[in-house]
Amino acid sequence: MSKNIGIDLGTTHSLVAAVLDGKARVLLDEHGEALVPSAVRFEGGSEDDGAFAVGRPALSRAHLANGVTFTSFKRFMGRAPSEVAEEAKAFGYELVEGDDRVIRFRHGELEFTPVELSAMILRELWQQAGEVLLTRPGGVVITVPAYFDDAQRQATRDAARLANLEVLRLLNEPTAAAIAYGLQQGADGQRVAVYDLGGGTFDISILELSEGVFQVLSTAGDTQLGGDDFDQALARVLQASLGLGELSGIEWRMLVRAAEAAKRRLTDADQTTIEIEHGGAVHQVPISRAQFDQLVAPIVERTADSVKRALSDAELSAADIDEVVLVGGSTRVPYVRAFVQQLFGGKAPHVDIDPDQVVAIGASMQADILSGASQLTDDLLLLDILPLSLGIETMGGVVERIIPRVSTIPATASQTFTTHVDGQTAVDIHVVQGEREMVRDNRSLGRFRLTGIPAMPAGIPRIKVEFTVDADGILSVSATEKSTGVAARIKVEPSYGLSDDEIEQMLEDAIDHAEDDFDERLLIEARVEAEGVKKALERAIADDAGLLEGDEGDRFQAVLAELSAAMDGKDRQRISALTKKLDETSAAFAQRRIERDLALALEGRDADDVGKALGID
Amino acid sequence: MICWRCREKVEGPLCVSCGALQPPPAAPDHFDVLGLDRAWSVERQEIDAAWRARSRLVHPDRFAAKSAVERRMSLQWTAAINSARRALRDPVRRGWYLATGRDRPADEPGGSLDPDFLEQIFELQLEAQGDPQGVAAQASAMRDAVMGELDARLQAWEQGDRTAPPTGVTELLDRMKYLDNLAQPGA
Repeated sequence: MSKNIGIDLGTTHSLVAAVLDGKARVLLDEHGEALVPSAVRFEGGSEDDGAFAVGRPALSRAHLANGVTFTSFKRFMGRAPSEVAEEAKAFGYELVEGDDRVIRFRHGELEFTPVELSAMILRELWQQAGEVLLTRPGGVVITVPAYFDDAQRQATRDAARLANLEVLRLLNEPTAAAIAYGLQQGADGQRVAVYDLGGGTFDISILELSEGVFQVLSTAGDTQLGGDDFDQALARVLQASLGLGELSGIEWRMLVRAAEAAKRRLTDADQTTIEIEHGGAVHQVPISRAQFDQLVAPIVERTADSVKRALSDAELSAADIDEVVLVGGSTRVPYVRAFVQQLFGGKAPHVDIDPDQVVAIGASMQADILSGASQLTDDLLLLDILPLSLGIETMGGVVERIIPRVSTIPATASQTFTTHVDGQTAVDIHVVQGEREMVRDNRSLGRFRLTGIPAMPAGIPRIKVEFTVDADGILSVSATEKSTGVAARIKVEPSYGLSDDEIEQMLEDAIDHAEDDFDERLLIEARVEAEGVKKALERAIADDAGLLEGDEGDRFQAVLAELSAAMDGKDRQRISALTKKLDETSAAFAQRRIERDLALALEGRDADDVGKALGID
Repeated sequence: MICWRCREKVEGPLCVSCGALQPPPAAPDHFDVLGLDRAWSVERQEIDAAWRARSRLVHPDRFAAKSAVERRMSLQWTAAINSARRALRDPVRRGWYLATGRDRPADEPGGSLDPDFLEQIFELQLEAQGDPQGVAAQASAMRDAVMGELDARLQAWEQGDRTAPPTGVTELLDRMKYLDNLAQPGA
């Protein structure tokens, strides 16, 4: 049975984890690294030169000219081009003009959406998991910030679809952390606050653990606040203090990287020096922890509003919280830790699980539970909530709330609509997400166009529209005309992001080598293993023909011939099966050789020779 | 009810014989879907416990590896119990549901408040002479009184045969809503 995996698709880095032998662990890449930078690099920038790199190689080439390295694209997922112009500039990305629905970055002749870039990261992690597990991974749980709205979740699901992954569940990051924490600590009857400050997003969730049910009581956050902002703030200070003036995209990115490195050093050091090469000169700027704290304080303080809102939604005060769990690399910053501790009345936050890994670990646990055959627990259930209210536009641009925020999901609500004109056969429903009274102040999710309504006088049709939010927090809509029972057809036009048709098109366009590559790799591994077993047996026969019994020699040769033939072919399963068969067929022979060697050892032969004979060095 | 899969008789969300999830009722009753008796006097903890127990049975996480049909029914069941918990957990919403058999809409028009009540409010405001704190305090006290009346009425109904819905409840709830607005200074 294939193994389900959990993926933490992060702003600055991503991870993949799985539960193996009843224990959740992060799956390392071939260099033994857990964190895969969420970075994608494109070199040439033309149809002919589409060379690209994903992860660490992409990041390590970021400073080179001619190509472009995209990072932090999670910040752009599910958002409107008009919202992100400034931010794109801060990252040095060129946006394709004239599209008010889909964000596209330009590099030479090529264009990339954040969804495609995320898909490349997902595919990389999936392959990495396959290499460790030596089998095709099964379904995937992908984590998203709890405060992601419908469009941002949809964009994440689209990325998974482009990467050809089977998504079992989108799981909220703080909830994933709580699973990892709760299952390892067995903390029943407790109220837990998960403070999650990542590279680009902030989330706070309050959960209650009761009789094996993890219930999310409330969640709040800011999808545009994170450790990236610390780097940018420090980079701006450096730019001003050195009088660097206008910088190119690449110069700015190098400055931000220098700032980020300094931030990391200041986690342990009280003082550090930043070296910047500019205009042929090397500038050295000393910075102290205290200066850095002062710089980031206003950014960190913005998290307090969300924490207060979450507590008030949960009808709790800071004193009611039993445990505080820190998640996200940015919670390593000493100022952040001190701030959180003070926010929760001096309670020391939990840091026992690596804040970079805890989300992926929780995701893999949930993936394991969803397999229906978990050894971790058969009795854990996770009940999550909708972070932002869903509403529809009514007369005068006013929002009518249909599913309030903090509702436990899945959730449904229905609403009856009618027509305003005789013979009208279509109705448009504009769905928004947010807490404000007026449509224009909320986030537009899309328009649902109901068609196929039977022609009747105005006001007669009664179209019952059912809104359903699934366990991933994603909305779907269905509709029926009540008097005739006709199911109205619904066409979804997302306000921002890719439409279904566009995703389909991308899937068709993508020349999908990934699957082949992966199978190819497994095939090679199977051949290598077969070759090893085959060689070992052939050598043993040559050395110890005298130990063969009965028709053993002929049987071995038969299987060896069969295996050799299979190895020329491409059937990996057959190669593996025959390798196993050869191993089993020759087991008795191998046993006799070991016994013979032991007997020789007891006769007082040189210990080194015995060791060699037994294959022990 | 007969199980759609094994044709055995079933009660509740899951078939005892084969474990299959059953289709949720077309027009689910909030008390029924939680497996609770139709009642006014029910503690929040009781509702939460019933909701948690049912969640364990029907939640989509339990059916992630099952057929599309069961996954769909699991979504419907879970949405139904989540709605039920929301509608019954708060006494005002629970009272409304007992009386009308419907969820109380967020912005239900005030209904017809009876003239005596409006007269009382008018006098209250006249006395307070534009002192919003005073009005709020008075309104809050009146609200508590109305809540007491509601509780008495529903307890009396509960002692009876419970077949007919309780009467006079929506009027009291409309008054409460009106007083709630007055009790919030600055609103």
